[in-house]
Amino acid sequence: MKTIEKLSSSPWMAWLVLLLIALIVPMAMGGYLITIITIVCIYAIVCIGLNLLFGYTGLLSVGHSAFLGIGAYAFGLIAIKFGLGFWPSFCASIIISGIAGFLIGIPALRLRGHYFVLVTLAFAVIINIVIMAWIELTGGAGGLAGAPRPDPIPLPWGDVIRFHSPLSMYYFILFFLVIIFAVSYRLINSLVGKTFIAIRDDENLTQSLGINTMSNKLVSFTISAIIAGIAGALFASYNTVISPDSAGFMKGMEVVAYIIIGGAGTLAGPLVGPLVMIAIPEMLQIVPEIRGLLFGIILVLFIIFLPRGVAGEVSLLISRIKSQSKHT
Amino acid sequence: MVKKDIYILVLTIITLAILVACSQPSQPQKPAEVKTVKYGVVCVQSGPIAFMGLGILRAVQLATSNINKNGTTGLGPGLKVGDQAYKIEVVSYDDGFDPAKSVAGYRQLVEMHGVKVIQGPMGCPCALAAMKINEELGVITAPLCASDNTRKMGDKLYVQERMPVQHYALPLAKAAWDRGYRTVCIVSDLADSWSGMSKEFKNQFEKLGGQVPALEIVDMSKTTDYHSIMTNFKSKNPDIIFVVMYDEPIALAVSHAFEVGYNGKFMFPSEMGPKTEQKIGLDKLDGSLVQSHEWTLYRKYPDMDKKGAVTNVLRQWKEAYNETPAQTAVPSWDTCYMLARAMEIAGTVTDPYAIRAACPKALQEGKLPQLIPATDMLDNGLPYGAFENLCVIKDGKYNVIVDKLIVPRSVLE
Amino acid sequence: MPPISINDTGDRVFVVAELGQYLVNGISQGCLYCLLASGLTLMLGILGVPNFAHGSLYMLGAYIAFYVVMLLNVSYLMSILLAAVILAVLGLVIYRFLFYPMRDAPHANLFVAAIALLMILEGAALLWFGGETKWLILPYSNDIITFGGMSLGVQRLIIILATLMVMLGLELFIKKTAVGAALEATAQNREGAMLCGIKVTQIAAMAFAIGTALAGVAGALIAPAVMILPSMGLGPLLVAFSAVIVGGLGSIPGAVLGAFILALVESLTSGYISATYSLVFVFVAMILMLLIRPRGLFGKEL
Repeated sequence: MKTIEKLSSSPWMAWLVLLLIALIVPMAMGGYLITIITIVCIYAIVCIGLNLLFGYTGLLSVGHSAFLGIGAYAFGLIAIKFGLGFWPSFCASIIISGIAGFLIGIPALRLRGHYFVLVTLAFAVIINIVIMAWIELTGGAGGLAGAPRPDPIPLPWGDVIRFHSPLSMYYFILFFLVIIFAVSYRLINSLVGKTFIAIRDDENLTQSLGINTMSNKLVSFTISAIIAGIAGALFASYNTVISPDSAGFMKGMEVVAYIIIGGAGTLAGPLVGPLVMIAIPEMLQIVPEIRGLLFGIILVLFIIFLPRGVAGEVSLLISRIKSQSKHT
Repeated sequence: MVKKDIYILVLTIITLAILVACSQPSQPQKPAEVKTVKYGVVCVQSGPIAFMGLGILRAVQLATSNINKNGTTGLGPGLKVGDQAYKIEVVSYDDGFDPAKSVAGYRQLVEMHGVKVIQGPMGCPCALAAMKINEELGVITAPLCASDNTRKMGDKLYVQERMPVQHYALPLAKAAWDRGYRTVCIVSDLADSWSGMSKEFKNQFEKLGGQVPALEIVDMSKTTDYHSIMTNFKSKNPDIIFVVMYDEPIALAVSHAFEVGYNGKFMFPSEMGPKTEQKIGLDKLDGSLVQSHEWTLYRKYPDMDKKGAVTNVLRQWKEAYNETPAQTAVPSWDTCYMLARAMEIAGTVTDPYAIRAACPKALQEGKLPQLIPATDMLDNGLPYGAFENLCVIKDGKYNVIVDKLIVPRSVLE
Repeated sequence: MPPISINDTGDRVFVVAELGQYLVNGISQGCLYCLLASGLTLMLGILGVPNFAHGSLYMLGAYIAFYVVMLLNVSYLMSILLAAVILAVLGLVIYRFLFYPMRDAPHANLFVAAIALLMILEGAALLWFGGETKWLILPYSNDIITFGGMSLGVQRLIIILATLMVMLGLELFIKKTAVGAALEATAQNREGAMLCGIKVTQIAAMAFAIGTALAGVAGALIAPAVMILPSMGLGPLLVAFSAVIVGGLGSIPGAVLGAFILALVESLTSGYISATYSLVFVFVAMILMLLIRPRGLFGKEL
């Protein structure tokens, strides 16, 4: 109990322990497991972005996979067709995702409720159709091949880090996950973040207090688009091929499902969701034919009985236990 | 709030660690008499295109069960590698049509099961992702990606499942021109191979002096309404409409063409088959051109199937799965037999390079029950020799008018 | 391509016939979107439920028609009725166990619940019916009627007539019966309706069942004319949602008008511009409507 008390009294210590686990344990894993947790990390990044938009600002976007696709294709096209290296393409894809988020956000965010959700869906489908149809640019259904891995990083003592092995790419992507997590943490706890939460809880009230909800929503939307774009570019670099299915209609819904199951509006939610929904079926090798059905059933059970998701419900449980122990 | 999130995460990770520990399978030891060799399949088995991916898996399962019973060339049960008899055991992984999962699947099958051959994945992005790591993992890859790029990548452990159809564009254009057709409208699926074929056909046909006033590329799996496309085509007064898709969408497109009043002829790739025959009826398609090969002809005229391979597979498939095989099944069956035979010829089930080197001989022997008989393999992994024919539909029958639309080796090397 | 044909004789007649054909195509396709959109607007407008699973219900209607006709040798007309009844019952079950318990949840949760339902229905269909395409072939499936240079498949004619009858029936139901009046009252003012003694919950459940029945009828009507697959519902669903938005949430006449407008957009752009991008034009039309007049053609003031 004493150590737990010590841990809980310093949150940074606890996150550090978690980071150490994430850094050390994979060294003992085989290539297959590392690939799985890398996929989890990429979806965790997307979910952190979407959590910002949905969990904290209250805007449901079922078409966020479009930004995954934009990030991936921007990165791929610039690297392959223009022949630029990893870093210039990566930075360019971030900027392009941001611009796309901004441009799509301006008209979309004028709408509320059902209308907003349907418009995000419409944009996602439009982008998907364009990707599939504009074969000269995007390679259509065949996708693009040859996206680069990160350039080797020279170390001061003459050695070089190369990014060919699964472990090296995992650490690279984990690095971005940590940074984006930290950024989102700071954002949520800042004034901007608190404004987002206010908008989520009651937009009209927030507006009546004189706050420009439109610009705040736009900021949230653009940031979440940028984060999704980063995930897309990382995914493209990891796979070295870009597939149009990554920007598909169903992918957008899957990402929303991950957040709901993980816990929208919590810090751990976007990490737990993908972990649970991707890693566990892999481990148990669930019969493929029932995967879709099972996914739907789990989602429906969560949305009815555990709408706060794993993270939300467990944290509620812990609060209740704590408050009870305080009273006894 | 932050501390609680930590607890949750740690709890989840601990649970997962326990699950990981429990899920590592123990390798069962078979008795030394008959050894088992594991054969891998990575394909999409869930979601809307599961049917296609399952075609690969089921073909391999059927082929291996046949081999385990009768051997590769009909000489007794199992694989005969040297003095040792082997039973083939199929292990599979569902990659959900996601390139990252295809890679994960390859790693899992190699790490957990030690496979030296994997058929699949299906789809070019997935195939390309898998081809990035198959040599490093020491496993032969036989993906389903009808592209010209894959065999030029220099992967030494690669076999292609069949010739990409875009190479038939030139012989087809010539055949259409020779029959007096001068105006062709084309509707095609957007997959690489199909759209490549249509564009190349348009190129070649126009070079000969013909006209292609309309070329529409659509997503055949999502399009349910071809009326407007066909109305557009009808207004251009074509001699034939070339429908470049799989069987079911062809049936739909043709029925819609008739519904808007088109009364002319069509041209189809070899995918045209039972569904179109059932829905439209060959009597309505009199005068239309169809590519065909052994699988499509023998399916319809079992008397022509002297070797009996096609009839056999159709019967077994119906018994085992109660459906007609997906298009992906046909090359997968052939590839499985080829690789199994290559193991026997090479005398090893553990050296992928030797197995790969023996593949051409497996085809040259000509003893396998192939559905589309290839007779050789090029250095780059492409099976060669299984050329398609061109038929015209007359009085409800397929009549072969061009026997073997030959594509020269030089084009494919 | 503008409607200029390179034929020499009968130029004008041919051009008009081509345009006429596109209109005929659009009308027959519009009937399906009309049935789907009417159901959707009932659910979204009255119940506030954005039923993303509507396309899957349509798909089930098609499968029911297929199995009933092909395996039980029932007449096609019967199968349409059966599809309507079975889907109505299913609708009641879905409403009672999924959407009614969630009636106070934030709208985003309702969306997610509908998505989950979509996954369940498609996953179940894939599991039970298999992924192979099914074809419902009727004796007159290939018959065509021609008039004035234009053609229409017999099945399409049946779709048009059936839709006419169903929509007429719906209109009569809403305008002439007491239950229909209660439905309209609930749509206009829920609290007011409750004060009048109308059992709002039961009316809401009925509205949902009518919506799902409409989807079932649409599915059964299209079944002989398309490939029957578990994923066949997604495309029409998106267009139907667009039609609801264009017409205005909660307005059935709006949904009908929106459906036909978008079907014509789809048909004309597919023929004259590009078939590949025709859906994009439909969505752009929807987005434009949302930006210029968010409440749609006949919707209530937002």
